Amino acid sequence: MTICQNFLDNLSRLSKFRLHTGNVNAYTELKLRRFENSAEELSACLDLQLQSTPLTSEFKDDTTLLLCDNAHIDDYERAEIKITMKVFLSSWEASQIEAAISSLKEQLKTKDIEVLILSFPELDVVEGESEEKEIQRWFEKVKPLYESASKLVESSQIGSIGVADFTAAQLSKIIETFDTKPSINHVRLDGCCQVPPELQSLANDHDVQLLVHNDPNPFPTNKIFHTFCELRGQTPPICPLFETTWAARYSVWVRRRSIMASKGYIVQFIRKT
Amino acid sequence: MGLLAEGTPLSWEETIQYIDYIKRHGIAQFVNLYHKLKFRERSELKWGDEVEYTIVKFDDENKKVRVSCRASQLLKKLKSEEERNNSLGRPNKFLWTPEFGAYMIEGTPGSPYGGLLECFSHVEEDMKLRRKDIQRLLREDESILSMSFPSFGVRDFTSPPSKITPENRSFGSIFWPDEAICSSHLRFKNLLKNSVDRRGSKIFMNVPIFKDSNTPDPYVEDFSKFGDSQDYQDAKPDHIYLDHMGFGMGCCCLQVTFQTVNVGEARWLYDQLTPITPVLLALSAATPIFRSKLSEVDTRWGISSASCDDRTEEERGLKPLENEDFVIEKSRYDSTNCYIDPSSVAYNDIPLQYDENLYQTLIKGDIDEPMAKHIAHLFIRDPLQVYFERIEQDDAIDTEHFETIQSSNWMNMRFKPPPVDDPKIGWRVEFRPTEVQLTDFENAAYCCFIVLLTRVLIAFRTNYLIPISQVTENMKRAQIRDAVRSQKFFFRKNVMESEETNGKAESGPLNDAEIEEMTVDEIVNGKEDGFPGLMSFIRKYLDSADLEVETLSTINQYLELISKRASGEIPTLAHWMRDFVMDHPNYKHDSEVSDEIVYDLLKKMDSISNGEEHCEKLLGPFHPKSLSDL
Repeated sequence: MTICQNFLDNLSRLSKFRLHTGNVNAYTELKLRRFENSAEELSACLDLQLQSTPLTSEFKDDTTLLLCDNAHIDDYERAEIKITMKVFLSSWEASQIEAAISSLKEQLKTKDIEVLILSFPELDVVEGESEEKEIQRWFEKVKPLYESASKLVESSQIGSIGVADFTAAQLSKIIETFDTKPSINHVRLDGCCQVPPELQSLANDHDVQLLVHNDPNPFPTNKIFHTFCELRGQTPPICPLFETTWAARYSVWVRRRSIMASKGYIVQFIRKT
Repeated sequence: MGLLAEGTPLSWEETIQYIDYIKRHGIAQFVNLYHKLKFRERSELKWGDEVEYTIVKFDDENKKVRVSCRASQLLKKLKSEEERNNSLGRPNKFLWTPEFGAYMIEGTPGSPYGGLLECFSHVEEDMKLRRKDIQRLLREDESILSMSFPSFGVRDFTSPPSKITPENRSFGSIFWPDEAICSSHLRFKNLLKNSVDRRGSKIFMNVPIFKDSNTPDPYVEDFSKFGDSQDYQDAKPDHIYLDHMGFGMGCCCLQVTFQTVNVGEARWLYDQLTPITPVLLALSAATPIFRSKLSEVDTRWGISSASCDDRTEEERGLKPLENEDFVIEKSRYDSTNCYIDPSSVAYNDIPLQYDENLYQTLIKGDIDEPMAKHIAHLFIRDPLQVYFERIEQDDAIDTEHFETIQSSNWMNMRFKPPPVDDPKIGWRVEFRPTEVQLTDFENAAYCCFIVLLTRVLIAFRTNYLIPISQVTENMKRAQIRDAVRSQKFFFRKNVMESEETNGKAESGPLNDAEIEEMTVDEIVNGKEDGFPGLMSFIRKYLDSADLEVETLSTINQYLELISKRASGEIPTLAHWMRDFVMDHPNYKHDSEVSDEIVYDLLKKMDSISNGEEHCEKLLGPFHPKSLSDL
């Protein structure tokens, strides 16, 4: 039995767990490649890590299993670094946000993080629905999650909230409703560098930074893992037993030198019912 | 640039007696400052650029353009404005300093740029405002251009006019008048005088001439109207003969300085950037014309190198060693001869000359071997700027004896210790090979590329080291006409450490198979076989940087320009200038660039530079923003 097999066997005994890649830039192979998007990067990282010996030893429910060494972040003072986490929610549950935050805080041994960016799930389509009704329905779902995030700002666990791929209409709704305004709207620019002018002016008027990302929307978490299973060939016991829920991408940026200290992913798995 | 101390400069004869003294004390000063400052850490990246400009005067009636030797006048005004700002507690947006040419002026940002990538949204605007700062002081027929004047040494190339007669020559030159040397600061004339006196003969360079269809073969110029045969005895056939420091030091360039986090990072970064210097030289080529003739080189590097060459005949290997200690391969203006980080020693394959006593002083002063060798090697050069009042120094606090030698070694990279008396400034590295570009858009683009490279080098801990002798060879190739398209450069293929050695072990002896000769296109844009070009790392770094849309959009334009210059899709300025000459109706295909052609060329360059005209051929499809857009 390979060590990886052993690792996977241990996993199969759990009802839920999290995988943490650790710093993806620790791998030469990953550093040399430029990825189309972050999902490809995560996929390549998992591929690499689960081929070799994952570092973890503890296998408890809701444990975050760290797949590679993270120690070097200690090279920096907390004040020097800026931690940003983007959570790709798989369902409209505030608990996913809380879980992601507590997981990251534990893994990076930090009390707080500077920026939390929320990538909300896709709204299911309702045939014949008007735009107005759609945005209202969307907002009903977003509201409790945004409120939950706002509380994290109030309790100083996070510095500010960001949203992802919001249209001007969506951004406007959030800004007019909540006291804690989003400071960031994460946008994807595929080739052209043009932001719709109404979004740009809304952002300018309300001090919302438009920052560029390369995450596919929606983030194909489940697909990444299944693809990995297929590639491994041996169909390890995990795949039929577990499915992914939320995923998170974090970066630790050394502020005043514009250097990335670390970049990693955390993925939550639960046993299928 | 360099030491601008005030006082009574000594002649070379007067300096000789103090050379040993100054060197001994310079070394002691380095030992003291190194130990005092080795723990200094500055957590912020700061960087700044230095751009050199030429002031020209257009004579529209006669279709002639000349250099306008009014820099001192302009600097006086700028200096008083600067002082006024200082006394009022207002920050200075820009700082201006004199340079070698009486028509030259150097500008830097008033305070350095910070470590946030957002600064790239402002660099171009700052450069444009800097240019405007001079423009408001110019006369109607004058212009400021960030370029090297192509007609130094032709008849009547200065304004006001100057006459060169056999009785009135600048250090023996038959072309270059004294009036074209900066007069506001004695430093430059003094440097020239002492260089020539030390050397024992006139400075000269022979630049291979570009052989066009009507260029005489062999090309032999008739200098008889300039003087007697001994005045031009060093002229070679098929070459453009130049005979004054001004032909080199009067050229303009672009330099970028970075503050690193500590001395370790500074040493490592200095080494990593060294193999990249020839790439940037080729990529930025902007100087194809000398004394109004098309040459076979596209950069000022070799000419500048020869123009500062104070080596005696013995040191140049022309006479057996009697008075001198060494035969020295290179001029004091040239590429470096060693890496300075302990992890790079395996790549130091050039035998270094240095005075053993000075070296031992460094070693006994607890300076590690690679650093000791680097410093001792710098100190084979004699001080050329000694001020009588500054000879006596307190080595515990003064650093001028060290600085005078450090700053008169003009290399492709410079390692800069912090000033002892300013705790806000850390260990710095200066990147020096780049040719200055015509527009601020391009200058900002090249700065951006270089700064991003430093971030990528540090963030990804890549390893670009090749034997230093190959860097020397690459620097030679980089100067050749159209090197960016026609030359290949020694370059490291395996730029990542393997997992086992990641940042831990010393770089092992280099296996030949890890080095390949690559084109600039391959080095920058990568290869089909998966070799990641510099651009690939930069883009990967930017992918994770959560940049603002505006910043990314600006950076993308800059990177596109560099990428297309590397692939040859957009020509370098040198190439563009050659094309302009070739296509000019009055050009006779004899390598001679007449006054009229120079006039038309510079008029066009002026209108591109000030935004009147957009030249897609030179700048690609990018539209540099005007000041009103920014």
